[in-house]
Amino acid sequence: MSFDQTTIEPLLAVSDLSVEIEGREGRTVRAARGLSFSVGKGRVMGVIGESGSGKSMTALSVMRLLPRAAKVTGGRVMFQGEDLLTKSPRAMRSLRGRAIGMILQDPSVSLDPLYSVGDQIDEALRMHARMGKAERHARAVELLTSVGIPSPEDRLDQYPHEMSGGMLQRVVAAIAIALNPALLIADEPTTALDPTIQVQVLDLLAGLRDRLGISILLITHDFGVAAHICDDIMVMYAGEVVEMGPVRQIFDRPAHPYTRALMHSSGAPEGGNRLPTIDGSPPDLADLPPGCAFAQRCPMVQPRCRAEAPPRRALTPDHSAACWRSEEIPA
Amino acid sequence: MSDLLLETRNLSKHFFFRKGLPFARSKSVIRSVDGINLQVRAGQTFGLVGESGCGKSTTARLLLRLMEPTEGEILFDGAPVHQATGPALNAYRSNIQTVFQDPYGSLNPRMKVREIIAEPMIATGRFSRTQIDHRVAELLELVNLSPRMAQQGPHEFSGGQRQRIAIARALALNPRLLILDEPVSALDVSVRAQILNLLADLQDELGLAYFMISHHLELVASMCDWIAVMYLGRIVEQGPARQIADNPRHPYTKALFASALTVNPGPLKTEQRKIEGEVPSPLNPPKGCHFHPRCPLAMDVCRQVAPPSVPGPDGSVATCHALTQSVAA
Repeated sequence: MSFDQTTIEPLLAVSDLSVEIEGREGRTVRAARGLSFSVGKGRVMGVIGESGSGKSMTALSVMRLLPRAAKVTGGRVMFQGEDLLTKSPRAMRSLRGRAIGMILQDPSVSLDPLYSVGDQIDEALRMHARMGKAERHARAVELLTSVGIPSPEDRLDQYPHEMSGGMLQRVVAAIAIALNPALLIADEPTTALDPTIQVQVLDLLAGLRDRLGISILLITHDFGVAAHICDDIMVMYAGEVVEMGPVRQIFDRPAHPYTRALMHSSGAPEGGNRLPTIDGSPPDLADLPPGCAFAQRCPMVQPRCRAEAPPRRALTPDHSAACWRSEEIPA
Repeated sequence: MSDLLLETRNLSKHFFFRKGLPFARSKSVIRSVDGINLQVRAGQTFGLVGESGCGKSTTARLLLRLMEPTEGEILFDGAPVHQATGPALNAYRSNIQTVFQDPYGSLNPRMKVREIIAEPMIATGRFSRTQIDHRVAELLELVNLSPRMAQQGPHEFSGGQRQRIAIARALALNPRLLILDEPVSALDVSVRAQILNLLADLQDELGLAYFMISHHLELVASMCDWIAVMYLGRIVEQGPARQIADNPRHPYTKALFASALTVNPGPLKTEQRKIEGEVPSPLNPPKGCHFHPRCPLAMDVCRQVAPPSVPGPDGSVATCHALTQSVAA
């Protein structure tokens, strides 16, 4: 974390969060194991990992929107000085949207096809803000303008099917920021979009941070996306944070073999060379091996790694990694 | 340069429909693929890039003969195949096979892996049961899976393994060309690399040609020998991959490659190349050059007249008015 922890309290501070999912035949899937991270005011924290690494479960726990089969088994989620995990469902409901906004992957699914775009922005304002009809209309126009939608007055009467994916994602962003939330959770917000539109939407998010001072928890599997707008990055593997730090440090000096391998296999093969791969597949979260969860696939594995799980330790004041051999990892 | 394998000449696919109220309907047309000329060479990788709705997948379907072209020709090994029927069509189809994007959608969950991979062979009716069993085992080994997996169902496999099964099926009839429509975009990063390496190995081993559709530009630039860039049904620029990726001449190609996010943190390489706006509706494409409403170089002529093809280095071609201007100047 690049902010000074002793003087500034982070906006969101998750400590030791664990989530378990009851599976069939008494299997318990450990979706998140002892997660600790924090998001500073006005910063973009990127959560990077592959499918099943616990990225989305982390976001859903913060929002208290976990599916019924999943439950939080420990930890705290401190947001603006209060533990969200102890809040009543009613208090949570008023917090969602108002203090924490959310943007999901596929905008054509997150909007209702039967209501006009204007109605859907109005709904958020009606539910949470004390505003008259004319005031809400003016706010809706203002919101669409701030997310870069041309001729917002006309757009309000349109339905989702009349708009492109990029425009729809802007509408979703407008709804998410309608009530001036302090935190925006964006789960793969540009994965469904074309490259030229992806850049536009990422720049929009960066603009919201710069203009409105919103903090963003950005979930992505794409290092390119993270590199483009994140201030800090946390890398997840098998339900754990294996590395965390400012984006520059992670890219210049990855301190976990998984981060390094993931970064190298994200690119494209150069000059007919083969891409470096990570052999094998992630461990079964219902039957985790003792020791480091990455040990089976790690090129630097030692006997100690298989016996004893490495704790995440600080390498510099704001860069930490969970590996016994962090100091030896080449860039 | 190696031999020409597949060629399209002025290939077009137009969709006609009526819109408006009954009795007052007007006819509309979407020119999904609008007179494209492509050449795929044996043993090489051809990359087709462009944004959603530009006609990439329609082109693939035309090549696979899953759709009839409105106009134009497709030639395979110099022989026209766009109107082939019966045995000629079957012969063509065993030479050109496909791997789809989503390995969860492309494998029948009610079939065993053996049946999935054997299906193309059964369809030809030319193989005995023992030949098929033998070939299925051989194919599984070719894609680095265990022949023992033939008796399992697709639900028992991960995304990467499923994509290997899909590749094995595509190879069953010894095709010479594989159409790869976004072959790795549904896969996780670490698995993606495994599949790309497998495709590279298979190409070396079997001398396959690939026709790859992708929106991952970095990947296309490094995997392909030749790249064609498509915008609203037309090819705006094509040429050797390095030429197109490193020295694009068409403003759209420039913008497209500039918007590719690399793993180096920081702002885009070339901020000024970023384009505003979105792809216009193919139902009502802009007059003249389709790209002019988003183009930083747009001139009066671009709004009226379709741009000419301007040859460039190493056989590349770009269709842009601005290029003729700079030549004249």
